[in-house]
Amino acid sequence: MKHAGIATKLVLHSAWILIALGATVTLYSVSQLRGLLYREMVQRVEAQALNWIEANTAQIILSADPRTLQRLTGELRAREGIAYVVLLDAEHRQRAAVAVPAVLTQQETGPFDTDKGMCWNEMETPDGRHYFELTATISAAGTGMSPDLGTLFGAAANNPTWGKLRVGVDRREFDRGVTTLVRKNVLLTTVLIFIAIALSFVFARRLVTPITLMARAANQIAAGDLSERVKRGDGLRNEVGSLVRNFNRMASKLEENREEMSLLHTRLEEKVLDRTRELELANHKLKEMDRLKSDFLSTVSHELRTPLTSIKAYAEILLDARHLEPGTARHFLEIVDKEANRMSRLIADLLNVEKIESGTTNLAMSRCKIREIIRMAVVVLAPTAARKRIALRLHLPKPQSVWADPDRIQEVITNLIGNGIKFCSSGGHIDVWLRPSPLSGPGRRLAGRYVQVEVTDDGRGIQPDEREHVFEKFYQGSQHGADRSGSGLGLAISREIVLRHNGEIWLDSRPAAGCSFYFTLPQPALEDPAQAPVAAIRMEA
Amino acid sequence: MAKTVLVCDDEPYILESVGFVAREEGYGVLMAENGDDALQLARSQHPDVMIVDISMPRKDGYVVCRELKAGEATRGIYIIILTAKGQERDMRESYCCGADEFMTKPFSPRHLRKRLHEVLD
Repeated sequence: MKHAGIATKLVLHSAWILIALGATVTLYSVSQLRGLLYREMVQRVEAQALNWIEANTAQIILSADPRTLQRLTGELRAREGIAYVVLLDAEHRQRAAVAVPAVLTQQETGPFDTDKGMCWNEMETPDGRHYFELTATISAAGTGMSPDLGTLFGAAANNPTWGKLRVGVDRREFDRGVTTLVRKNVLLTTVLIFIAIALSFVFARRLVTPITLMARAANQIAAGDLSERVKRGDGLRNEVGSLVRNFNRMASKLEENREEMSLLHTRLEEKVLDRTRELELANHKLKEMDRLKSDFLSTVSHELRTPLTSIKAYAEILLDARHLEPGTARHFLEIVDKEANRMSRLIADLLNVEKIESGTTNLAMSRCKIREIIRMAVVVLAPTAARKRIALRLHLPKPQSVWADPDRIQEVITNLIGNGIKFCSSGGHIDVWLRPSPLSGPGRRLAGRYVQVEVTDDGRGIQPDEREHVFEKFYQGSQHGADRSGSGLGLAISREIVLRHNGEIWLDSRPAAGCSFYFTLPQPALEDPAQAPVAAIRMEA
Repeated sequence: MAKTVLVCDDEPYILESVGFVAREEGYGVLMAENGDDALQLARSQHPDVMIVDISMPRKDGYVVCRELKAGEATRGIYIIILTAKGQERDMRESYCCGADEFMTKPFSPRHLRKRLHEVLD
């Protein structure tokens, strides 16, 4: 019974109490009932005996005929509950008897009631049958007859007692009556107890079921299922009902809290993930920047060492020379001078590219005429081109305004045309096109809002695998006999400048058929002075 | 018979200066501007010493070293790497490829003269 529920326990306990109470009540009532029955039997038999004596005394005394006596006693015997009847005279001689057992031993003698002239005894036969026996006195008293008449019935003269009547009642029959009654009593009590148990079970269940359900729900909740609710007993108007309602409210609160917590948790996790991703990205960028810086430094040192090597070598050769021809010495000095210039150009370009890349150079943006800028660049480069007998052809249709820093854009155009001159063979030509809007390449989608400048040469072109590298710092063509006078930074600087103008720069080339560089610049309509602060902010970044 | 020095560098001025120094010391001088030409010259002319740059078009100094040291006929050539790449890892890589000596730019012609005499005489 260890795992029995509260309902079972309640019912069991109340059942024990009910059974104990029922048994006590039954025992008590049975004993009371027995007494009652006995008294009732005694009164009934006494009344019958008295009635008979009153009715028949005269006839008994006067006739004394044995047949009459036998008939009269037979009448009494026929009455309810009477086992035997014996009629005795004053001398205790038996005058008549009906159904009396042959041998009767007196077992117990009751007190003699002088008022009634009666006494009750208990008799027993040898075979164990018990009888209650009433002995009643037949006398003159109350009959109005002379006491002397008793002599007729064998009594002494003046003896008021004329005879005796013994009436027997079978104890077994009396007991049977008692037993029947007791049985009914016990049966009724038992039925009542069972009804009481059943009712207590029903009531207990009604009270306990919500508690059981609550216990189950509490288990579920403890196991983590907060959606569990108690669906019975919440309407009860007692402590259990209030408990159920509060329990459900508590569960709802818990569920709400958990949902909120899980939402917060999810958000937190998302935030952590986002932050981690950002940090990883930043870390990656930093590493990449570090690597680029390291690469850049090693490239710069290599690039600076190359002219320095020539300067150092020729200077030492000249210092140690014992007999150099004057022409050779001058040639060597010219090399030293050239390489020193190359070095200083390299340093200037390096500072330039660093400034542009780090955003410390502010572009002096203004509305300017791109045609004039191209012309300025061409004026500067014309003598060099003329020396190499390279034709510079300009195709500048009509004045086009751009939103740009004119000095920087002139630098870009100078770089592009300068490259063309460098890679063109003698007798070649360079074309500079100005187009109101991009015709091809990545700038095409910006048609109408941008101006496109194109510089095309008929030099030896750029190999496809080299195209993506030409805008990188220090990248110089691997072609045999390449002119190494440049810093390898011109295109890198040009690209930075164009990008800072929100333009684009790209190239198109077929090996041995020349190449074309293109770049785009925004028209003032797009980048009017009102938008200048935006550009400035972008530059800071 | 005069010993021969093969100089290989894609920078014309450096090539010229090294060649000048070797010639002044009385050695025969061969010149190449890229790795391919250097290998061809080395195989056909059998120089005694080679002075080779690392970053060159068409086969860099490392490849030249490895191919020469792999060839039966060219294995004996004394290779001096002369480079503007002055880092530890460049030196290690050079020796891994079979170079005999590692010299950084800018170099001293005086030191180079001394080394050529020590190697060739």
